[in-house]
Amino acid sequence: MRNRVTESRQRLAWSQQRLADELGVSRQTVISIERGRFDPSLPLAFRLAAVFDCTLEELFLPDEQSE
Amino acid sequence: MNQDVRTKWGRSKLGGGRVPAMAVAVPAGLALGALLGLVAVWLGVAGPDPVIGGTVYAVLLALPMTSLVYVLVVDRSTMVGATERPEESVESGWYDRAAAGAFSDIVIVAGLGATALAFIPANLSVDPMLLLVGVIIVSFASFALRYLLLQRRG
Repeated sequence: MRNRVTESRQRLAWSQQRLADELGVSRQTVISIERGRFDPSLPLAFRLAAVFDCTLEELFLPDEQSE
Repeated sequence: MNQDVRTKWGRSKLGGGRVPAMAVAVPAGLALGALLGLVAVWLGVAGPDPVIGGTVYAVLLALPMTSLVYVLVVDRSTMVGATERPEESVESGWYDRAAAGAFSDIVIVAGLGATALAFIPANLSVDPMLLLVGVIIVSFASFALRYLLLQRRG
């Protein structure tokens, strides 16, 4: 699964640590999500969408739609 | 837990979260070490001199007992750098995967070891304590290696 977390975070001019603090997770978690190495749990995905004020579909994309 | 009450070593789950965890762990660990030293003397495994033997047991077991009590009593949310939702962090996933892999390794190693032991001559004995230590070392090594690999992959 791919995502637009990096672009969304950069749009807010937030650091990875700032986003991690907002979400209540470690900075490594944000790094892993942005790299596509870690698929967040549903509650965490919803919090990400809420933080970026978008829907899950806008933030997370199935692999075949990401190109 | 409020960010400003966080400390390096955290606070104890006991005492309403006001007592530093080390203030509980150190005395309890020393007391447990001393108690186990007495147990060693009582069981007669502390050597010919009960005072020296008991003291050696007590001193050597004080640190592991302190560590054990600390792990049991510390409220991790009161430590500096603790995340609000550790169970949703990637490290939690690494831990679960490493633990599951280590368990599989233990089953495989124990099975292979039991098979190998079935073929050793009857006059050769194997110390069961060594076998248990071996199982523990394999589990620790497997977990540590798997966790490190997952961490490297990010």
